[in-house]
Amino acid sequence: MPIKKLVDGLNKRKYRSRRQQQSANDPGLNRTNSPNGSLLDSQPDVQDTSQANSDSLTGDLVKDLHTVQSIFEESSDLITREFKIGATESIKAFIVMLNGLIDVKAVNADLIKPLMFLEHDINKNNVLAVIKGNALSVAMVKEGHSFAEVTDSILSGDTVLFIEDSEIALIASLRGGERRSVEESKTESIVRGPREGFVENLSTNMALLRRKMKNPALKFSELQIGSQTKTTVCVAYLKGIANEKVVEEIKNRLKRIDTDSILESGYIEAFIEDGPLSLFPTVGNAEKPDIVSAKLLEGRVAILVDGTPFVLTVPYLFIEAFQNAEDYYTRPYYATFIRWLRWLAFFLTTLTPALYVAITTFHQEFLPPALLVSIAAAEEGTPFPAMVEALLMQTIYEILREAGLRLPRPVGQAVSIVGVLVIGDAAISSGLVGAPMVVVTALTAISSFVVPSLTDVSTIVRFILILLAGFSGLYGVVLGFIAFMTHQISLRSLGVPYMSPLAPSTFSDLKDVVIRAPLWAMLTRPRVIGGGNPNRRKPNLRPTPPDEQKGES
Amino acid sequence: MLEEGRITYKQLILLIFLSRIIVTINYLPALNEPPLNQDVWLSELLFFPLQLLLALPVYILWKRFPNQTIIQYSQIIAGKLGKLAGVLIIWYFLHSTAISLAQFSLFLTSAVMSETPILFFALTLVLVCAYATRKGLEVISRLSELFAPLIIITFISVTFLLAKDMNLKTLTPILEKGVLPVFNGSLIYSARSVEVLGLAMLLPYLNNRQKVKRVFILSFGLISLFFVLITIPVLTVFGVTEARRLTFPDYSVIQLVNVGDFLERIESVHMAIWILGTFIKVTFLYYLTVLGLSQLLNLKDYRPLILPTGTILIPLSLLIAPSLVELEAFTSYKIFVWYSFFFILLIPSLLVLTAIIRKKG
Amino acid sequence: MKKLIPIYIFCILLSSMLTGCWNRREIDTLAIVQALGIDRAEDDQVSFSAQILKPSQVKASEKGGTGVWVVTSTGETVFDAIRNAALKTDRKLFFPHNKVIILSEETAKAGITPLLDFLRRDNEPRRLAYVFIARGKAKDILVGEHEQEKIPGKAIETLAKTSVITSHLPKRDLKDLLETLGSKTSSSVVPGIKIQKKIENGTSKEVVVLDDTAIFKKDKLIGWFDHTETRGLLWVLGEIKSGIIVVKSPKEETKNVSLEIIKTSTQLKPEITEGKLTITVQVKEEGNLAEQMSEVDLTKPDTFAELEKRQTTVIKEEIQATLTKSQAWGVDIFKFGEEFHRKYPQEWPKLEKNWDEEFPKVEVNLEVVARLSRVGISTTPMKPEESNK
Repeated sequence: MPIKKLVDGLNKRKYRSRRQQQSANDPGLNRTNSPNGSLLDSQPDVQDTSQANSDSLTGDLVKDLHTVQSIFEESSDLITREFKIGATESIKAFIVMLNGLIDVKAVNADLIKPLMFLEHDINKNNVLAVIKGNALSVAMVKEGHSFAEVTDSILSGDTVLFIEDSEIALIASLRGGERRSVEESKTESIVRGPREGFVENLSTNMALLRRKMKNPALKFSELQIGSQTKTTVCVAYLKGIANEKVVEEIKNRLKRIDTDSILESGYIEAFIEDGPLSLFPTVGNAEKPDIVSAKLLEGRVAILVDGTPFVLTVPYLFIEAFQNAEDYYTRPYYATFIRWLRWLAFFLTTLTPALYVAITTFHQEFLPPALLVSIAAAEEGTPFPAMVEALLMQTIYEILREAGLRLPRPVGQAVSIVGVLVIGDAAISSGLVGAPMVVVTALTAISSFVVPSLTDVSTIVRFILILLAGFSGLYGVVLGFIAFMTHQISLRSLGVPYMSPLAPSTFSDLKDVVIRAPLWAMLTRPRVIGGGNPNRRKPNLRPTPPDEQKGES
Repeated sequence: MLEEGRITYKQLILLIFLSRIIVTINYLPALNEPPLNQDVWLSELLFFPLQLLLALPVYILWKRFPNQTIIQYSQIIAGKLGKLAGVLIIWYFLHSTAISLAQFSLFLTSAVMSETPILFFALTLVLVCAYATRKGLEVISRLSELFAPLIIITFISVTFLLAKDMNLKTLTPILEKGVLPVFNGSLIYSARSVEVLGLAMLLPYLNNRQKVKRVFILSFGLISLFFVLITIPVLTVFGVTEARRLTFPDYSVIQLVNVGDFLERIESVHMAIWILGTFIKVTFLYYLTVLGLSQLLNLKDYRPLILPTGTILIPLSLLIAPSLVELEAFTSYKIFVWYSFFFILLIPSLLVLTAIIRKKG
Repeated sequence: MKKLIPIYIFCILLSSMLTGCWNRREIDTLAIVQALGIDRAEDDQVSFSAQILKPSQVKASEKGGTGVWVVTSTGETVFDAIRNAALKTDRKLFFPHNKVIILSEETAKAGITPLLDFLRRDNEPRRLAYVFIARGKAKDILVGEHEQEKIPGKAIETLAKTSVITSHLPKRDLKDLLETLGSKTSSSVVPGIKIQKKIENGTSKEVVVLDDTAIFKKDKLIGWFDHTETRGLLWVLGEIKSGIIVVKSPKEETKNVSLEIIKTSTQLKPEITEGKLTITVQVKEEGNLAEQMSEVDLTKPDTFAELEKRQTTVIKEEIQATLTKSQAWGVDIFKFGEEFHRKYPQEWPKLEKNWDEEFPKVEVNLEVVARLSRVGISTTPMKPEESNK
């Protein structure tokens, strides 16, 4: 069965070398390198070499066409077009492409038309050279020597030209098809700054980055990961600024991945991160080219994945969640204030319910008298103990939030108002929960969005702390805090301590954490990441008024 | 590996500092030791130069053996006897950890959560400390670096908030009983500093050899300063007689903070901060015990020792302190000073002498 | 190791069931004490009363109803009495928000130190609570009402704070009281409190009112000072924050003039000369012309100076009255002892032992400087207009 053999061959050919690396002693493993066992039966290696031969093109158009059609059996989007090259002498040829991935107009105008009307003198010997040199008005052309290559190219959106009696096919890149255009990023909206966000197409994303950095030092290095999806993944870094060892390590980690699909950068993140069991992300992501460029300039490495607008950046530090691109485009005072607000909001969202539960259950003596009276009055009639109330309210809030995300837009507004007002108000008046608890929940909810990248982290931490608070009061909360801190401090993201510059404190880097120092004061890159190329600005850039003497009347 | 981490000099200073002040400030035994009057703060100032003097043996030993901890070089200096010294020192670390743990549990039980059994506090703290110890020296030092500013700022703010209640006249008359009791007091405080031996263990892991002198000076200087910072509000707000009768002077004094009827009851903050500090101290001592033991036994890794030591630690702390009274009796200056000086002063001094005589290092 | 993971998890889960629920108390299981009182009961027992908050009542909008109720119980010791209260309350008494401590006159006469030990030792009652001695029974005070506040305990607390503007009463919290009780030489003073019956609209209400000052020798109540004597005491202690000095108006001796006290400072300077103890009390005061009931224009320099002189005289009289009485009773309520201690630490140990005899022999020099600075926003007083002159 030719199809099976072919597909086997394709799979094995690509991954055999890596498999051999991983399991040098176990030839048996080679047999089952796809989770879908049905596609692969155990086939000894010997067959591969023979298949290698049958994998190359024959030159017999009928046979080749047949082969292609059988590879793409039941792919109704396959288009094959037979025609004759040359206006006078005609050499038979056909093109194969997948509808929807190609730019039809370009194929018609730049591929078929010039070939059909080719005036040049051609014969079997020079047909390739002539076509490449004189006929195909296509910028990206390469030669294909095997069905594996050809199939790969067709699947990527290229058009393949098979020529009679030629064992080499020409692959022309005339990709098109409907794709999302570059538009404003929905998850990272700002007031001031560029609004462009990445899209799903890798080359567009690479282009967006190139536009930000017109620098040959910006290197892109591509790999394909995912045995079924064959997703293209690209590692981007600034040579000379990024740490060479980090780049090497990233590339090694990516090569190590052996899975069948990479559907989103999150999949890659799961395979390369430093703290796979940790709550805290050690790999960052961004949707906008200016953010990624800034990170590259600090010495980080970016990983672009085809099919998703979310680009990964490593190493990722805890404090990065509190730094927003917009901070750097606005004036320092407000940016500093907003930074403090973010820290405050993060602490509020994680600690407030736990502290409320702890203090009202274990340590009422810490409440000022007036507050105690209000809380006592409110909690007087409620049936649940404070911890249960807190957990209940938090769960309801999470349900509301998740539902709000998935609601169709027309219904969304109404339901969220219903959720907030009715449920909250009704719950209070029916005596199910106390009013202070609703206030606490609302505060927690709103604060959780101030630091968007840590929303999911803070939710889990919050629940754990509420449980600790309910069982052992303030003592439990403090111990929980200590445990989390210890864990965070021990994390590293590609060798860089996760909590720098807070934990191994680098005083010079704190100016971008505690405050947002004016741009002319940030002279150095973060020491632990871009230490190799420390200076990014010349000193004395602070603007001063012009000399009086030269001046005005 | 045994310990590959490095500690920077700032981190070491803060670690020593936090460890020394945190339990002391909660109990402030100084109030009931010579001098038994309002000159306590003078004793605390005098503590700084005195402690430096008493830490000299450790410094000299470090100079001779810059890359080894006291457990390691004591074996080199004195062979089998050195090993014995090592065992004694490790016992002292273990004992200190247990005492700190006992003090921690007793405070929480007396002042805040009175119905919870002591075992609960001891157990949970040991678990968290074991976790941190497992992570190694770097994590411990980074934790101390992170928590120290919080603790320092809190106590400084408290001093400011109490300023309006402080009656400086209570500090007079100065030197009422003369200098000798003051000096006695300083001597007693030096006896409590197990951190001197901690330095002996950690100096080899210091990042930057040049800064060792600075570590000694800054850490003890800071400690001394902080003691004064804590004692003065207590003395001036309560007066000497009542202050001496308080079990937890600093906690009681923070209960009195009342600014504009709005900023009050901040002892919750004090409690939280104090738990952070005690965590650092217990982790530090726990780590020293486990590291020392593994060096003594020439093990490759100290991690397997952590949990077993923990299981010894908890009952030991419960044994030491079934009640506050017995604990205070033991740590009171009459007995404890001699006991401590044996380890902190005598053993290092003997090691120095032996090293000089035998021309080692 | 990995096989033991299920066991670890089981242990952790089990231990979480054992955790900390010992100390856990929901707010609605607390009886929040706002004020407490200690009396003597028969057979030398202690009678303890607590004013407990009813939170929902406080929140309800009607004003004037009480948001509290009072429970009384007896026991052999203070703590025993407190625990016995549990037989009457369905909740555990919760002290950290206690604002006021009231001791009855009777118990005070027998010595208050034993009663205060519980309040010192337990971590719940606060040292910032104000202390009062009740004329009569403490529990009667607790039952008393207040017009403005729904929580009478809070009302008493604020009464204590605002009473300083009359400077007829000291403000004492537990911390201050403990400090003076602990001193070997100084004596304590505590403000008094009593109940006044008011008849309004046919119903009789019992209202809480502050009273005279209780004077202690060691820890036993020995007497009361009235308002003037208390003022004298406060002058020497330097605790006058505000107040009114009433003098007779110059040129119209039948009418009164009110001078408001703005700023005061007191310094005590002890001296020992040849075994004789003297102390100089330097009082500096600055005041305002606040009110005059006479019609003379007092804002002229000479009348002003006269007012200042009269002010000084009044202050001196007040202080002298206090000094005489306290030296007669042999109570060092002015903390003279501590001043001598500070200045003469060598001689002090001898003096301390005999302070009870030494104190009445101390010669006191008064140096009072009283000034007037402002006159308010009107100068000459109003006169009912007469026919044209």
